[in-house]
Amino acid sequence: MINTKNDVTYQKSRHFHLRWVKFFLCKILYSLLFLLFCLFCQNLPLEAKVTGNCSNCHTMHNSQNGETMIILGPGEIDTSPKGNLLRASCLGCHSKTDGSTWKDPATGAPIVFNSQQPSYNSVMGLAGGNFYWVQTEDTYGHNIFPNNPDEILTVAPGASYGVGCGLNSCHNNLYGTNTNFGTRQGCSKCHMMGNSSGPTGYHHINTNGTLVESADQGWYRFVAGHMSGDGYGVAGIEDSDWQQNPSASVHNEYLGWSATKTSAGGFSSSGANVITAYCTGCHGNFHIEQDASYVWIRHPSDAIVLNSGEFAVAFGASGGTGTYDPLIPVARPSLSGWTGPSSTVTLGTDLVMCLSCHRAHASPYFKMLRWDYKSSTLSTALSGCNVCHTSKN
Amino acid sequence: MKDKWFYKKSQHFILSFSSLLLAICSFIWLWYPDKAISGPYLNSAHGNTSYGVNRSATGFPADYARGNCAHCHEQHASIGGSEPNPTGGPSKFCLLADNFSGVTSKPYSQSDNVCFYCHINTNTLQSPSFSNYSYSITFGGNPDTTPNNIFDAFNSLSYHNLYDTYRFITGLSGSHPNFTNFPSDSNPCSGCHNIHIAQKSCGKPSGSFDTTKSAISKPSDHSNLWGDSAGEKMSNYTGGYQAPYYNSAVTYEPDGSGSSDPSKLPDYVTFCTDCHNATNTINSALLGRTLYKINWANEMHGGYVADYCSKSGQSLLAVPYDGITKCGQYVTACTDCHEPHGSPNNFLVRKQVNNGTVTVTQYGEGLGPDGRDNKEWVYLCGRCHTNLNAGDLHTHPTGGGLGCMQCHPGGGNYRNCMDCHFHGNSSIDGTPYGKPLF
Repeated sequence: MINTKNDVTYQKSRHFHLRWVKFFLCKILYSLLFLLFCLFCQNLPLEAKVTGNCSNCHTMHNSQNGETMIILGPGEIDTSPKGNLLRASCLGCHSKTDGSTWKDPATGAPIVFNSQQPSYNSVMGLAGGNFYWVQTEDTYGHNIFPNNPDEILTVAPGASYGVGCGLNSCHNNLYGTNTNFGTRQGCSKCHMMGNSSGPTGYHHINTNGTLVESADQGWYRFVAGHMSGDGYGVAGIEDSDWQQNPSASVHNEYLGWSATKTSAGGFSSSGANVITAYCTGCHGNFHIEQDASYVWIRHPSDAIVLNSGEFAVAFGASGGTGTYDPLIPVARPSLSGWTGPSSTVTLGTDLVMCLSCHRAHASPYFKMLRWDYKSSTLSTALSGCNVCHTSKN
Repeated sequence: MKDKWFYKKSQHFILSFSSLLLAICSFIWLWYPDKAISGPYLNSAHGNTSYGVNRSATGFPADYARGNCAHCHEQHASIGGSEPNPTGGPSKFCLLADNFSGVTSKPYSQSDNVCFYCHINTNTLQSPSFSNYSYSITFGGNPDTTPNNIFDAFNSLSYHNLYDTYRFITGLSGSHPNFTNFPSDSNPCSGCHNIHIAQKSCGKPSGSFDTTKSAISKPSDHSNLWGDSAGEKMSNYTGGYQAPYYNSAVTYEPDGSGSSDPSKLPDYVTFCTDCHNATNTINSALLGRTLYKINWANEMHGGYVADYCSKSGQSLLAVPYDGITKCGQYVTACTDCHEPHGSPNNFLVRKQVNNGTVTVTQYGEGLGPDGRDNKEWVYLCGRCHTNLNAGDLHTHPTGGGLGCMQCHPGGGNYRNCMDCHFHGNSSIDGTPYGKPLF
């Protein structure tokens, strides 16, 4: 009798257990289907040019019902009319006072400055990082704030260009204002540069989905050369959501070029439309990476990641092919014919570049690095290095 | 019933085991994050989180983790817009200072070798400062704790010449068949040490000794440690290796334990003969000649069956060497007599050997322990060989072409022992003796 009672209890328990398993499996199935749907949507070509009504960005009289139409960014107070009938400075459109918005819902503008700590992804910023981090710590990024200038650096480390452009040359700092090529301060010291008198109007060009490699396309993220670098710009493939949620197969792509490494960088020196050439327009001496006997004297940039020694297993590679890691991006020697990002890293072909280690805007870490190189836990500090330097773990 | 019981017990076991495993993993991860995933660098001395590299210098951030690459490498030859001390960069291999100055001989200065910026007592950049004692102190227990750093060792009377080493390993001079890991700008120390994997095996004289660790790599196998595992120990020599005394008559090298254990000592013979062998040509700028070639397999202290161990019933070998029962079986390790870096004696001879002090500073021509001229080598040889002093049993064999005048050319005092007894020699004044003399 007792045994029968126990059997019934057991059967009930087992039945309940099976129902729970079925429920759990269904949940997983639905989640996978939803994930697949999301991935499908992610790969659709989306608009990245500014969208919506003209009045989202422009104002005819800077007045509506007697009120100013200027959109102020965090810390801004100037509501006077702006050039090109714009309603905002760069930060006016590309910033938010919260930490959760990564794209302006009206204009589609990527948010590069959240005045609250970014919370929308694990790296706490978009592909270039977030200027939030440099508000209180100058060593965490490029300081673009005129009212909160860099207290440590007055000249770009490794500067080799821009001599004679004045104290607030673009090559010296980003927070000051100069009038060398139109009035430039902050963002416009890097973006929409050309030999023209003012910022170029790249915002109206749709550049998503395919390779961006010319001025007609606005260059990659609107970054181009001038003076000796005139006619050059950065080539790449722009992720449609600025790597808000990157993966091995969803990310930006960058062009690299293994040019001479015994002289200062810049477009004219490199002769290629590569991001490293752009960075070294200000940090040129950092591109003097080899001495006369071609021994590395600075960390390589735009150098091929070898398929030998400890590098043979970089990026988890086997047989020369590894998995792309958006935390440690590589550049490609050619993007010709590319229509989207690749999920693989080809050792002996792909290149390490400035952005392999640094974020362009700012990061939560010292020297705008992509990982916490100053972590008190050594394995964490070296975690980024170990992606390539696999035996130094 | 049995199935139900088993079903429930299994569930219970899996749940308990999983929880336990998770708890253990969490504990390891929380308390030993480096150890949980450590690789060759984090297991090395320089990458150790307790005693690894830690630069303290003007302009260098104080908050990099101990062992961080930045202590030795400057990725852009600057930090925060200027180069931290030592300045003067950029330097090859992104090092904090120039690798090697190319100076041909001592006295060395700190800037002659990038390693000297830390491996030095005065003005070391390593925080806190530390000591690297010589071999006879660390592994022989010598209470005379000088030199206590690498820089001082290389500035000793005799030393492993850095210029010669640099040129040899890089192929700029001499000849060797199989060194491929040393580009022309290599650091001479890298010939024996791969600094990214080299380990601290011993904290002596006050710490412990770990036989599974090693600081050395053979030049022909730079990517791997040597002497850290079975098959790379002196125990490989069957018959064989007797550890010398460790600063007492009851303790033994290399760790001062109460018994001789050849499996504790790296096979220094194989290590040193990677360079100092019968085929390699090694130029010495200091000596102005090539070094004597050493065929260890055919040396009395090596593989040759040295069977002259007793005479007139007396052992010719000192304790702990048993001249009677193990005669002809002994091999010695190079480090039983020699320091690897430098020594206040000639030819890098240790200050203390087999529990006794050694003084050889005049290439053997000085006074011996008994006050006789040309008997200086007895300070060394007498640590293991008996009957070498005045009034002792005359141990040199005679006959077979060897007469008194070969050793006493003036009819009186001995000539310098080194005239005949040196590595690779088997001749007396050009006349073959018929067997090795060292």
